[in-house]
Amino acid sequence: MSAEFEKLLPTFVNAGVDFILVGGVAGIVHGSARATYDVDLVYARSDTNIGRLVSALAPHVPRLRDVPGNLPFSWDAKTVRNGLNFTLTSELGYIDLFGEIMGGGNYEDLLQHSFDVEAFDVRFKCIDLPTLIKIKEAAGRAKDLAAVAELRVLLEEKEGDR
Amino acid sequence: MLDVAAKPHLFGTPSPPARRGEADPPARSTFNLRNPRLELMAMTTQNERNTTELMRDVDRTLLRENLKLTPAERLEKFAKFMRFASGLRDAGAATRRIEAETTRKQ
Repeated sequence: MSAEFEKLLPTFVNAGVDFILVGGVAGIVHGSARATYDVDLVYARSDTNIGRLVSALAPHVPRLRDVPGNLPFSWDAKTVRNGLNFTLTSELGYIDLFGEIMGGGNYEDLLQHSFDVEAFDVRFKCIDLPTLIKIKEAAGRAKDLAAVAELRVLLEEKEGDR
Repeated sequence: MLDVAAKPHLFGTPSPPARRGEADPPARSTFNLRNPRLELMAMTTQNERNTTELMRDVDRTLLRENLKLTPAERLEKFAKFMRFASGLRDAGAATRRIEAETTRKQ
């Protein structure tokens, strides 16, 4: 299953959820040619925002990904408040929600490193390219090395255009 | 047709290119550093080297094409590609179902 970006991002925007797009889809915004199957979002941890996030996603039946199906999981504000990062599957596809992200911090920390993108008839925030590279590098996963290499080339190409 | 060799970035993380006559870099365990910070620095240096190597293999023509588009156009292009990939997956699944039914009937 892959994420339905065209539906997922407007769902959150229309519900008034404060989030910043990070990860592979943010890479695509910057020009990456790598395929990705999930949407990574850093969300604001305020009670109001958690409430909006929960309400927006609830109709799309979110469940924890890669855990036994019989593991009890309740998608509500209490769960989100008590947790931080959630790796979910839903009717809108795979969604990774981060209260905090390694190498980037939380929503407020990342705001100054984000910019507005208009797509699918909505406007949302996306992480800037240097910060995206920093986050991928901080993750330090072998699978991210090729992604970092591509993002660095993108940065070179963009800087070369200036 | 999707060509894995020509577009490795679409199919996961490729291995760093091997160079003839050059020994593989030492595995992490052979650093034998007791200080975790030093070990992390050694790992970071290794990752940095790997990333620099991988940058040579990045297909810049694809990226330059993408950079001509607006961010919204890039996302729409990607969504279209995902629909295409999903269509292929569904077609593959349908074919496998038909094959399984045919085998069962025989």
